[in-house]
Amino acid sequence: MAEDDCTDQHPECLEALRQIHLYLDGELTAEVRQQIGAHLSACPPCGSAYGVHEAVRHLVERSCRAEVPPEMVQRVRSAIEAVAGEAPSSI
Amino acid sequence: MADQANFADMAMEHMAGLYGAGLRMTRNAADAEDLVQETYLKAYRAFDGFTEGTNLRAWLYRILTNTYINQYRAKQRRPDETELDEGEDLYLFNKLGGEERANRGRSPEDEVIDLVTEAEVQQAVEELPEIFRVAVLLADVEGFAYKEIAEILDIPIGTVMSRLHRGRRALHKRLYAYGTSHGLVDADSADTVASTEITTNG
Repeated sequence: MAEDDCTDQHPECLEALRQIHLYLDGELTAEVRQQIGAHLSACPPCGSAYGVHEAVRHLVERSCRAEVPPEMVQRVRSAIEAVAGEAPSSI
Repeated sequence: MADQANFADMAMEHMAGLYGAGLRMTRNAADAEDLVQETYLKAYRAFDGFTEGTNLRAWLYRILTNTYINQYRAKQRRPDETELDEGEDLYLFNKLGGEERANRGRSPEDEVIDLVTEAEVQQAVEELPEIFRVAVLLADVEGFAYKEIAEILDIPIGTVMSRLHRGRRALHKRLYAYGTSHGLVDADSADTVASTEITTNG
């Protein structure tokens, strides 16, 4: 990376990078979250690097959702009812 | 202690999420349907032991994950899970043009969406070794907190973080590989995703 590349050089940038996953996942304390958030807003390269992580996460979330096959809910309900009929819950 | 009579009413609403996760775990619809049905039957049988008011969704995912590991993993051949082609946290950012690109006013969201199709994202997720794939699914698709994932998988929070972060880095690398494979990105120069769009969009 170039020498003036913010995300690779400054202690604040390194710290933001170190915390990037925890920030994305909402797993930081309020105080650290505020610090990292302020840096991401003030430092365009770090903000953009975070944006890539956030965008991929959204893309994964959207892409990996699935529609339940239409008959499946009833099939599972029937299977549960069959088990309920065989084995009373008072075991 | 929960009443089995209430099980279906409480648990059925989670089926779409469980099925989606099951689909990415087993990688085929027939196995995913069986896995989810088995999960519901096990959960129903064990429901007496579930404490109402606690996290039903996480409890169902724990059963799903255990059922998958015990019953389905065995019949699927997998690469060595210690081998993960992992990039760095800034891998995709840098490959997409990094700081220079950021200064050109095109958002990371745009860059990433242009990079790959949803089908390729699914495939990239499915290609992750299992322990990393499950962590990514539970966090990124299902939105569970680290503590919940730790409970679902019965592993320490540090291990959750390690698997999730490594899994994401590997995923970023793979997504970029897909992007270069169909020519949306020039692999050599990282010079650019649809430059005409940048022009026309002003």
